[in-house]
Amino acid sequence: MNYKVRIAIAEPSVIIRTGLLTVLKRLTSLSMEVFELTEIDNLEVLLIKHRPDILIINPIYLDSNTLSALKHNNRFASIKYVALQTTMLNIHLLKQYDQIINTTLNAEQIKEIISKLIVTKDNASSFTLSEREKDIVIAIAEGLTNKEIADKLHISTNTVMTHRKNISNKLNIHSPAGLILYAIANKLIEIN
Amino acid sequence: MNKMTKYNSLDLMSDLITENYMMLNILSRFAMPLGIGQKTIRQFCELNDVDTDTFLQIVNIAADNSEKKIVNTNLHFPSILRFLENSHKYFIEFRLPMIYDKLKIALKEQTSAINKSILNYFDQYLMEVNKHFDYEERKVFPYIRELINNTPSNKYNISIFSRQHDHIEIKLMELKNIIIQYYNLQTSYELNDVLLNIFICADDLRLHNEIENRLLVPTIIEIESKSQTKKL
Repeated sequence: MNYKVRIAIAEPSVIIRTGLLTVLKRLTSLSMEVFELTEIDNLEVLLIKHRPDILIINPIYLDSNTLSALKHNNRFASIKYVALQTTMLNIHLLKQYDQIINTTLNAEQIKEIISKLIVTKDNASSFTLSEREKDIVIAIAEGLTNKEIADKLHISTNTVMTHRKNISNKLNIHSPAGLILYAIANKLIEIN
Repeated sequence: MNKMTKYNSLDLMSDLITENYMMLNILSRFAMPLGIGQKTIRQFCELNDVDTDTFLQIVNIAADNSEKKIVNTNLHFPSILRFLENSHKYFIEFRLPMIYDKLKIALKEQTSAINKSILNYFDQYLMEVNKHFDYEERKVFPYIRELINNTPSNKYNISIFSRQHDHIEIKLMELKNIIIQYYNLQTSYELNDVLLNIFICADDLRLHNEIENRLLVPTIIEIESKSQTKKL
């Protein structure tokens, strides 16, 4: 699968931002598309618009609460968050990130960090639904609530929500109405 | 096709349109005719009683792919509101019904249970768009007119709007993705035509939203804060 990993860089300093951009673009062995995010006053809108797989961001843009909210939001949970560390930062904040890039790293080290994050992306199974996930799609298409789905499949509501999150990410379909269409098109359910 | 440059009042109107054909829609929403000849943007705007700066501001948002917010308290609000209302009319009365009709024709050839569901999905979507636009026309635009005339009669403010302003094009994009990625349909001229129409319409809706979010809302916030300090 020739999938280009989408990498977004959010960093206020133009020197650091374009510097990192250049380093990443030189890593020709990785198939990726790198772009800069500027005007970061509404990060969510930018993420919806540009749909990065990896967000390399200066933590001044992303405090602990916001980062944790993003990670719990269906839309943004699949994004890998990389801290771009240019100054001393609170270790607890940094721990929340998937990886850290700082300005002392060389190109090879940066490449290694990015490679670690994209291993799963090339895997075809990350785009097809598991049997369990299909069950969930069917239940959603039948109009069941999360609680009802949990009861029917003997799992917890939290697990249902995790499944829903993974389904949305795999299919890039976020509305129940869209999932119904998917279910019908793939003959998971029949309608009269 | 889509050159990303900033335009100014001395550029030729014909360059603007040939470099980015989506600009044709902007012209028609300002009720400007064709037959633009070799006129500059300013000349042609003045000829048609359109405020040049407001026109350019909108054109430049369309030509610029950034997220940059623009505060311009010199906007000619009657023009921009008329522009937005005309856009609503265009989507509701022309573009979306046209896509709906085309969908019906394209899907007719295929005898499968999903076709009805796609049309239902689109029906629901039309209702949502209607609701979205209706709210703006009943609540937001009248409020802006009052604010500009210094006669705000109720406690509304623009942040109420910007908080709940959803991305109305997303569901349309999703429909297109489902058809392209997951629905094993025989392609036809009709189906391709409808998909191309959805692409264009979704882009157009996004631009419409951007004009509201990047230009109108930040500018109104600025005017609100000025009128607050005046009162104090």
